[in-house]
Amino acid sequence: MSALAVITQLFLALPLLALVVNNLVPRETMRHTTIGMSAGVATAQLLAAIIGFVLLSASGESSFRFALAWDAAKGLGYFRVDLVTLFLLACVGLVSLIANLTAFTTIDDHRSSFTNLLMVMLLGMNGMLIVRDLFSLYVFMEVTGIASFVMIGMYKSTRDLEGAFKYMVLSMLATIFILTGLSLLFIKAGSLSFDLLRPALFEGVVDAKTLLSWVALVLLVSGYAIKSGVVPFHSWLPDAYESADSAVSIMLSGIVTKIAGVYSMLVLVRLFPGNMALRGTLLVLGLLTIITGALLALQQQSFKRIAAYSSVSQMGYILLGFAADTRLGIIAGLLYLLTHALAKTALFTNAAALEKRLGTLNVNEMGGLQAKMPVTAFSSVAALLSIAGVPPLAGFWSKLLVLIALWSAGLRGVAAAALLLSILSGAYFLRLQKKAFFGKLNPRWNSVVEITGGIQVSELLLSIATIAIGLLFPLVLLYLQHAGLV
Amino acid sequence: MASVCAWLLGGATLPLMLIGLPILGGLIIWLLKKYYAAQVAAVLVFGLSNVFLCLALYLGGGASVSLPFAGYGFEAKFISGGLSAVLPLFASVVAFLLARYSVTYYRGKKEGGLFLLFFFVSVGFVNGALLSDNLPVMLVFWEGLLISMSALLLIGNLQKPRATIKMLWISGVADLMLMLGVIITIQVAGQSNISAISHLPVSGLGAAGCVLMLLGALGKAGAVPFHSWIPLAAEDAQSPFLALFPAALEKILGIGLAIRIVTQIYDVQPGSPVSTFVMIVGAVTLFIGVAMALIQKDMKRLLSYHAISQVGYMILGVGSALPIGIIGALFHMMNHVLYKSGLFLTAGAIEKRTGTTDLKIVSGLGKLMPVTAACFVVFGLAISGFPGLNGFFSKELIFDAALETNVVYYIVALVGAAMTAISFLKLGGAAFFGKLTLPQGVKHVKEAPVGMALPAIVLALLCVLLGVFNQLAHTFLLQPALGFTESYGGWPESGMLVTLSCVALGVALLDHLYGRKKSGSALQSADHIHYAPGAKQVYALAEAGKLDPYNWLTAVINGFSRVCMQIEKGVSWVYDKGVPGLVRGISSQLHRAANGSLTRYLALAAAGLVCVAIVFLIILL
Amino acid sequence: MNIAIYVCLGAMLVFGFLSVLSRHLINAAISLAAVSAACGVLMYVLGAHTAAIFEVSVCSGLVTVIFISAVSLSNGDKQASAPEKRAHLLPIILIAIGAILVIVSLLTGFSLGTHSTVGSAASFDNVFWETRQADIFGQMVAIIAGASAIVVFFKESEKQ
Repeated sequence: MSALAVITQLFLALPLLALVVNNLVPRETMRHTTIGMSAGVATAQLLAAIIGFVLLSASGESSFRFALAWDAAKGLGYFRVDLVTLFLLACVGLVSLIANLTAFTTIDDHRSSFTNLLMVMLLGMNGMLIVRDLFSLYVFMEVTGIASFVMIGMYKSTRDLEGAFKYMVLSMLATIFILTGLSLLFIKAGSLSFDLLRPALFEGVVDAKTLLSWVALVLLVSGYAIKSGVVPFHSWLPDAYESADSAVSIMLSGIVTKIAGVYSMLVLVRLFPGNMALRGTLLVLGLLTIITGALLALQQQSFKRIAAYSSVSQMGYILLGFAADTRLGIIAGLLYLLTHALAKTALFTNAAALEKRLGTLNVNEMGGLQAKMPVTAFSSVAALLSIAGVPPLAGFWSKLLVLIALWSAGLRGVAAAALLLSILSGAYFLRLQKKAFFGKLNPRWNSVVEITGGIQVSELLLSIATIAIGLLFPLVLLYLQHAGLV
Repeated sequence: MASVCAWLLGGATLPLMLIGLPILGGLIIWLLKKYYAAQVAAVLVFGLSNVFLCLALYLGGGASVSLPFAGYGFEAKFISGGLSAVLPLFASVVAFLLARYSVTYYRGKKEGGLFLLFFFVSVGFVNGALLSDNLPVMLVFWEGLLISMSALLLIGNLQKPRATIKMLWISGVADLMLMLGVIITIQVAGQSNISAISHLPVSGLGAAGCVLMLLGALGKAGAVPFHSWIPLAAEDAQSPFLALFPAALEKILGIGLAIRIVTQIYDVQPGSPVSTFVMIVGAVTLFIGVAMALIQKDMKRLLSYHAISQVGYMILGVGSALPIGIIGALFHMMNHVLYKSGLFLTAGAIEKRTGTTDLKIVSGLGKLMPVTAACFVVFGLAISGFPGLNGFFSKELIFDAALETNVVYYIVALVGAAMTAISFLKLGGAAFFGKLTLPQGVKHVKEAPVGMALPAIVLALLCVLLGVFNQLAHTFLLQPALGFTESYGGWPESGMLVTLSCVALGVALLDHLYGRKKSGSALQSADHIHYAPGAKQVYALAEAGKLDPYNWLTAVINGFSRVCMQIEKGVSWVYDKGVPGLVRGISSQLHRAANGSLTRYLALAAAGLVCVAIVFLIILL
Repeated sequence: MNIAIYVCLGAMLVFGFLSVLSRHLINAAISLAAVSAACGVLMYVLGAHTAAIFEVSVCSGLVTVIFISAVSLSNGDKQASAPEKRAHLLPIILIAIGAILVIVSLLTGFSLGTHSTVGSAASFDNVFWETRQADIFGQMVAIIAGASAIVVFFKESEKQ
């Protein structure tokens, strides 16, 4: 049994194990223990994914197949990992770790199910990343979704439930779209396995059955778009993020929408390369998302809602990267996903810190907080600069790669438009920073002190990661150049 | 010791010393600014050493030094010989006299030290520009001169730098043309050493290079339309500056280069389009200058307009491209330097003693300042072309060339001569020979100090000398300078031209007497021309600056900048108000649309599906 | 067979409109559940048995029911009482689009047919237990999630 076989088992076994252990001990008194344990699971997943990535890329294989432990003995291989999914598995581990660190502070003693749900969510996302079948993808997407609804509504306040309910209803619509699409695709292809779905489905004479596959694709794209919160399917997202606990918002914004929605889109892109309609739709959705998200972010009063709309807007860049439909485009999109996850996670951590210390998230009531909460202010500035694409932070490089990918794919107008639109992210960034951290200190906050504990640790961790990745990014570029991609 | 002297004087280092020594001298004189006697001594030492070095260069038959800048493929070459041996000598003599004058003029004034510093720096630069054989190197000195000149013009006018600004603008445009011309010339010739360039064809690119270089050179000399800063400077600047720059150095440089262009660098043929163009410029310059001089009531302003009109004669001579015209232009330039510097020196003497040169305030000083008045008479007769004085002989040569080219130029030149005479009769009559009037508060007006009177006397003597013994000038200065073997010296050959010139002078005298009788005073003796029907309106326009190309240019630039300002404002509005307003408007509309209603969200998502389908359809069809 | 398909599609369309147009949150949710159910039937009819089971169990069943109860319990039905403006044109447009789609499909004799290889070669048990282990695993996790949801909504106290 190779090392990869052991590592890949961890992605499902660890959360399951944590789930079991969580429920064996009397939980109400052991909140920190259980959260610590899930933090451990997340860390283990992060390390396992990184080691797996190194091992797989060293082995020269494109993917590694495996199955649940009891089926693996029978020689089955219904799961697989490749470099892309291992990268994303690492992202999942990273964001979960941060969410857990934040949860130490934000989750109260009565929320013992938090870790259970988090483990379920982890299972759902890991499952999505390792399956080899569009239908299995849907199943695990649904698992992730259920965990998300419940976590959003965890505190059972009217606002929380409303946010969760909106998410759920929209998700149902997505489910309908996706399932209908999958059925139609199944009729056409006879299977939903990644191995059997080919671009050829869309070729040939346009008859009723080819039409089926096109309709299926439309439905799938729309369904996944709802899941990823892309404009015009985004409306559930800010409500859900705002009402959720900050630890949950971190998960949702940092990784859930990216795995549930964007990864699914990526699956489609990888299954059907060269599909002009898919590519064009991603371009249109991407540009629309960038514009609308940024415009809406400009109007918001709540720190979390600004971050949420910024999330929406940034999702557009990832889609644009995928729309380039080249290896470079996909890599750029994935790196964008990582850098954005870092920055957005940092922002929601800041939101947690502000909510904890100030009791409000309305930016109009803030002001001059950098004197009182320097670490929070610093990490927030670093995160927003990264999102706005200011060199040498991580966000700049990934945005640059996306633009290069678009440019080299011949989509020069789109590249130019995307570049121009990044001004808008600068605009809401400036507005937020000005209102929250700079200017005159609101006398109301004279006695405010800097946040401590897990939140501060994750703030520092994320800022350092954003800066370090930015500084080390030329190495990535060198690697990409070595691989002949840039 | 002797060998060192021989090396210094005869060697190749001479041209370099000619550049370095005046600059060093300027620094020393500046340091001595508190000690008048020491300053005078220093001026004598450095002024005379400059003269002697130039003389050594001239007598030594020229020298050549080349400074290669190893590795850069570039060399700075200085050659002395011909024109570039005669002109430095001439300039050094005039500069020495003016320096001696300036020391006394600025005695007891704070800005004297700085003035002399830049004075000598300018002399060094002029030597450099005259001696450099390399066109770009010449440009370096040429531009350096612009700096020292604006410094001199700024001294005493720091609060009111309008003349400096105008000068920088105008000279800047002229120098730009010169630069372009030089670039084109180097391009056409394939190299940049003047001595190696010979008679480039004036066609195609070469024509552009020739015209641009000529415009640059003549612009430096003060040709229309590069003239209008000079009258303004005459209002603001002190007399020594006017005597040094508009009267002397600029003419030496500008006309010197123009002669080089016409005789050596380009092959300009008489009657060619370039020649016609230059002669038209000359005729216009001549006429505008003298016409404007006619109505001036301030001595310095009047003289400054003559500095312009006299350039017109030189340009006519150069532009004719005939040997007689070119030698006439060179001769006239030298004569002009002598008498016009002298005239400014007399104006400076009046300024020094009475504090003004406005003839409405001060007049009739002849009895009080007899030496100055005598010098003025010599200079005035010389500039008017009184037979026997230097101005007469050079003017006759130019008349000859003008008549040979086209009778129109001759008529303009002759009318110009008559008007020159009229304005100088008026000037002399008012300043020295009319009724004595003094500014308020000035009681005792003495003769100019010796330090100021002596240079004027020397200049006056030189005028007489070059007039009476003009053959000497031809033999020792003009012919060696131009390399001509044929002599144009001696009494003019054409009796008719002399007669006509005398008639013109006579007409001028009659007109002066008529005007004086009509108006009752010498100062207003030209008013009947000033206020003649038709002329009056033109003069009014000209006096108001309406005919000044600089003002047109300024107006155009102002208009342009105003348009730009409006565009800028519009653009700023778009950035400050328009775009953010649009963004905010759209964004608040979107915000209002997202009102939290679930049904709306669902409808939006359904619409999104339709959108995706439409995009698919568009791309597929 | 075809009739069942059209009926299911029609039901989905109708309940879909209802869910979009309903003023009441709960009505909207129930309509959606009905859409899911119809979808499940449609899938079963078309031969995607597993898909049908998951659709019915996960979407229309478990979560919706849990949610609706939780919402009613917590008086979260503010949406219903809040007066709001409605887009009056929207239903007309949607109905028109639906009608056009139906008419076009009827006119062109658009027939979906059935895929011969699905469901016939392998028995339902075969499909369910031997080739879909991943999905079964997922279903298990989904049930755990449902259990957690019940714990959250019915056992844990509200925020202090």
